[in-house]
Amino acid sequence: MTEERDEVQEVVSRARSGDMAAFEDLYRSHQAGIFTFIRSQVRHREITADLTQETFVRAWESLPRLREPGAFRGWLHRIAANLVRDEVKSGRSRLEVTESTLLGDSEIPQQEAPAPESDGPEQRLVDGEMSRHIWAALEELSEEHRAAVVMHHMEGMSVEEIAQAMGVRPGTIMSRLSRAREALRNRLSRYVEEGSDD
Amino acid sequence: MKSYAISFVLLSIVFAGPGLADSTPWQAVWGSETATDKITMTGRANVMTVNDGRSLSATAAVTAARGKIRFDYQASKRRWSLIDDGTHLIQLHPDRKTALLLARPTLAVDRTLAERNYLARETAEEIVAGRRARIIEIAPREGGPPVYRLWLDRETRFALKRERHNVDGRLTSGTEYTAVQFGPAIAPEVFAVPQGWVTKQPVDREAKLSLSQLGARLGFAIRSPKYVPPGYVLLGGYEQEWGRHRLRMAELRYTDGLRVLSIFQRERTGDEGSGRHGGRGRQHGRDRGEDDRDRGRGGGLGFGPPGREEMTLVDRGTEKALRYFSRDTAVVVVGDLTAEEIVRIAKSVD
Amino acid sequence: MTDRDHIVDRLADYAVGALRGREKARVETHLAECAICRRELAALQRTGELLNAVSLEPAPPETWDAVRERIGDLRRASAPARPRFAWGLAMGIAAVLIVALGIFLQRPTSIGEPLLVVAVEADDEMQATIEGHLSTMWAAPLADEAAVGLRLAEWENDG
Repeated sequence: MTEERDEVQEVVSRARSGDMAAFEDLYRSHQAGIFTFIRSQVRHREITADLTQETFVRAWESLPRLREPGAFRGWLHRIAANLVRDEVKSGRSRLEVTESTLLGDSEIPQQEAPAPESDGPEQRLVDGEMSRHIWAALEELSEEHRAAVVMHHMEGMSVEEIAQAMGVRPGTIMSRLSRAREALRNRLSRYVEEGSDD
Repeated sequence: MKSYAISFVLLSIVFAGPGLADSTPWQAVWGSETATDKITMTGRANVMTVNDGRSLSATAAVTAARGKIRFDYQASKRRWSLIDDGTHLIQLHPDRKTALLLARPTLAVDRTLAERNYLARETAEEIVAGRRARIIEIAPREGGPPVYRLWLDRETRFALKRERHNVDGRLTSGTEYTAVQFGPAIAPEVFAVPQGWVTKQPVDREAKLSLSQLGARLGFAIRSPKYVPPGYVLLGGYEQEWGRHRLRMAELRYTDGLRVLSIFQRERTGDEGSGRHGGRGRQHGRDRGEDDRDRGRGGGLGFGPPGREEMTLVDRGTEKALRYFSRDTAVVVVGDLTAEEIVRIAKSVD
Repeated sequence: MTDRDHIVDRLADYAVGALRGREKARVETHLAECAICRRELAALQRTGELLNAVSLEPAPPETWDAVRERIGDLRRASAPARPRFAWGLAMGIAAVLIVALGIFLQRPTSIGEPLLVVAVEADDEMQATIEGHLSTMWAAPLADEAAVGLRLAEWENDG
């Protein structure tokens, strides 16, 4: 874990001094996480792409002001979260919420086919249909709960990182994760209860 | 006595310093539009813009007073000036001692339209030209990159720096003051054509017309688009004559409060839409004395069998233009919009 | 039974690792003797595993190009005046447009449906309409008059 942070720190330092190749590295490592994070709030694919673009451009602009290069990921999410908040306040995305609860196929993020070399119990197949149900279940959570789930489970961020990104105490993140876990357990009962293995 | 009191109040408002900073972002923005109505200003600025895909830049000495403004540009060895005296745009060419007068279009745009379609928000403070400036960002409410970033002087609300981005998020113009002074005395002659210069003034065609008036003038029925992007309203119809060959067209002009969308149309001639676009002379099949340079210019990528209907899209950065041949009309849509939106508008003109 | 209900409440907290010390020990003691709660915990844990297995959605491929171009603009905007780079930029714009509008060009077109052509340069007619549009940009609210003035000068030089 510490090694990862050191590595990020190094790339961030290079990017800070104007190294575009280093910034591209950062982009490649973080784009899917940011895109998924934003999309979980905003849903509309084009707006998400715009906001993703905006997040990275602002990150480039503000990179010199980042005090802890190792906290890049959390800081990047903070930028994205602020953009999302402005977007949601502007009203358009709220409309999308009510429409997409009808489980429309185009607006719910699609799971990609899992890579053949994936292994371990966590890489058990989450197929397209299950993925849609998971995202539909996530829709029903509040924005904060959904954001915490995306960052922790899908992006692999630690509770401390998430707390830093959202500007709250780790305890608050923990409680969001456990409330979300309960709600999702009920919503996804047919997949998680005993006897639901294929 | 009364005017003395008013001047005092005005002066204290203008120079109240932090008091003025309590205005909302939109208030500050509209204040910047009229910042030099009551105070004078001289300054120097670096100016940059995209034009026809290329990047232009110059420095300008700027003078403003009583709602008028003058730019004395310098780029490499070229010098020229532009004056906006409220009624005309005056271009001065010192080397030829000529002045070109252009009618200053009045757009009469309702401010609430801009506020309805755009969000203004203050993001930070910076020092520009040695003065404290609030940074205000104006972005479409429905999302997308900011259109304008304005650095407004805290005391006077004058825009010390301004950046404009196009709908694709590209920076297309920027002006930044490197030095500025408020309050110097400025003679009225600064905003007039110098004595003894030759003045050229093209015919003014900026009268706003109704669709039927426009149709009567141009001799064909004016078509309206069934679709314009949300937030755009119709300003009016105009008869236009532009370019080297004085092409006469009808213009339907729309605005969303900040951006302008123009839909030009004219009657088609028989031999168009063949995949190659030469000069106008060739399209009309008449010899108008154009040289081969006109014919060669502006080839599109030109794929598709000849005779098929085509849309031609040009992206200039600052705006995009799309020409669409529809039945007996040629339509050109010009605006700072995404390509998809422009295509949609053009296709809806029927 | 009250004791059991209380534990059930805490199962989700336990599953996410929020419990410590005495609270945690209490839950673990209860789990050792309650099959119902063990099953419930398994369901909660399985939920977590499912969530862990959802993969991220990548941003559209053209996003990086857009980011890089805007960063390039930021750098150019703060750099001193540069020489013109006419063709490169124009071709670049056309190329990006072709990619972005690829969907138009690839869609099967029937006879009579318009085909989109992306031109690098405007012909006289389109040039004329762009000039017509330019003068309105001067008068638009918040217009950067200094910058529009630069464009007007170029146009007047050509015309």
